[in-house]
Amino acid sequence: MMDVHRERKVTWIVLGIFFLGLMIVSVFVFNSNKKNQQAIDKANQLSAELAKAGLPVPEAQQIYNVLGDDGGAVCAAPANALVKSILYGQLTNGAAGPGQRPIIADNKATEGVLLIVKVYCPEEAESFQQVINDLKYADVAS
Amino acid sequence: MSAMDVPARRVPAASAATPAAAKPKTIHYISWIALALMTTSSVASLRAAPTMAVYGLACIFLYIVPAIVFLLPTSLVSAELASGWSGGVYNWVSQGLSKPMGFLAVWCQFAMTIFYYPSLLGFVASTLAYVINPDLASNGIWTALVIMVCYWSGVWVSSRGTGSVAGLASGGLIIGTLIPGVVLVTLGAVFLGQGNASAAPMDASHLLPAWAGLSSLVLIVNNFLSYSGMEMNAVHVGSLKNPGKEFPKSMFLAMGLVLLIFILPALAISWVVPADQLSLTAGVMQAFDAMFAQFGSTWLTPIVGIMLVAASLGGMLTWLAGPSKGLLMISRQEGYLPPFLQKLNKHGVQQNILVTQGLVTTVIALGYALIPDVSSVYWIFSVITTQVYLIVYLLMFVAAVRLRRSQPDHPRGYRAPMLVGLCGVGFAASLAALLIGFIPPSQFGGGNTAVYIVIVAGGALGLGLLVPFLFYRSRKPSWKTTDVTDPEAEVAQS
Repeated sequence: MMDVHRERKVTWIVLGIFFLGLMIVSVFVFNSNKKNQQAIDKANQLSAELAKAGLPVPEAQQIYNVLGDDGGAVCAAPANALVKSILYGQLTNGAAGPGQRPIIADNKATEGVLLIVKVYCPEEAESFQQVINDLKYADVAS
Repeated sequence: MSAMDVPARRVPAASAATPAAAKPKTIHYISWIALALMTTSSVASLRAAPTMAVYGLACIFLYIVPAIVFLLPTSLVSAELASGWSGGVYNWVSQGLSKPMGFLAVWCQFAMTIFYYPSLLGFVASTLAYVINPDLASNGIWTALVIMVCYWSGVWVSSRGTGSVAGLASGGLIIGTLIPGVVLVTLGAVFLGQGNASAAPMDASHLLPAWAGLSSLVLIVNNFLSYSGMEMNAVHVGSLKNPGKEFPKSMFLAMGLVLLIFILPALAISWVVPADQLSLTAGVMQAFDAMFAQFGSTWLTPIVGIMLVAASLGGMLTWLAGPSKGLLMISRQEGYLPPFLQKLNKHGVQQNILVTQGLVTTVIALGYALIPDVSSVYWIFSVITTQVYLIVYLLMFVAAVRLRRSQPDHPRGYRAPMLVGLCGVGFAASLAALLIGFIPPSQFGGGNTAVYIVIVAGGALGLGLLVPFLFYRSRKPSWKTTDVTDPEAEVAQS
């Protein structure tokens, strides 16, 4: 039988290499430079929509760095059942373990994301509107 | 009283039974710091930080109040119990109430994890999708693949024994929670240090969350559950050299770490990213992305994403190793599970329980990933399973009071101050959380409340009471294997 310490060492090395490799690959694959003219235009458009809705307006640079010119993850099938489950998974308490449980979310919880969908992927707006219309809200954040 | 009941003065049981000629092997102990990191890893991560950052300064209130009424009682009571009785919640409840209740307690702790893994690993899949290709988040095959690979890898690691789990969970916590947590807090401090105004108001009038009646009560009381799992790793108390002294120390360290991990990163995000913008998130990763975008450092996003994945998987390992071990221990003693499920591998690990649990989890996870109707309503399983988990706490607090009265002179390495009061507060908090679980959340929309109550109550009764009752009814004396408490210690000495 392989010595326990050696066995653990091998496990550590294998997992270490795996995660390091994954990290390196993800840095190369992840699109962290999303600035282009269309991204800037969309960011300005979103800024205007946010201001019109009375919401705080982040700097344009912050918007296009996150959303790029296509809305990024927000516009990746926002009404899809799995994505909906991710959204539902955020309308929860402060637990990070098995105590995670749904709550009655704040009124503002989905206001901003709907604006993004309307600006960046308007073709998804109607179905996404339906998703968030199905939710119940309250004014729980100060 | 057996030696196994007294971890503070533990004598390896097998040493008495082992022939003098047999040479005992070295027991692979874990340090109390490793156990503290395991406990922290089971309970806390940065996953909740963006969710709670929405509440700004009030997130302190939302974590501190539950810490007083739930974290403190749970931690101190389990510290006393673990310093006096090995084996974790099954043994505490068995000794304090009855063997069947002990089985019920550990079953509830075990059963709820089956539904926890798909949602945890679903988070892993969506995090990886965010950094690799956001379109993958909506891809069922991708999600199913990630869940399967991660889950079964976790089963393999868990089957190597507590030592492997302790090391990897500790590593996952440091790499995936503590380091990125420090980065977040540092960035937040730099942001304020540069003279920027905090995005969330930080004045006294924002210390409390807005009061919206029942909805606010749901938010506050549900947050008690943020600390659920603090007692779970007590099942490994037998892996400490001096459990009576070391377990309480590990609990105090874990309490401090959990509070810091929950509160500080959430505050840091709320300083930088406006609450309304946080609500723009399409997953936890986007909140981190927005935070890093403020500093023009979005290259950090994929790195932190992979770190979060490491932390999640480390946390999963502790849940794989803990409750199933408790279930094994009582089943061996009382014959509650058939011999096949009691079978150990060469490391003394309950491999067949893990594999059987894995098969059930696989079916549930495939349903979650591939059937839209299941993923859309998966949130309701988290309600049902947290209800089931609260049964464990109700039993634990009652058992602790009973043990203090029935066995006042039993050696304990640590005696919790005002134990009866602590148990009263903890019991009331658990009961409140149980009751509040019957109030429909956002996800239920405008559905019929009575239907919701029936679903939650039916699910909790079926999973938490009916299934263990069936196991209990089917038990056989011939299924009893041994009275040795910790099978890993048994294997190490054989």
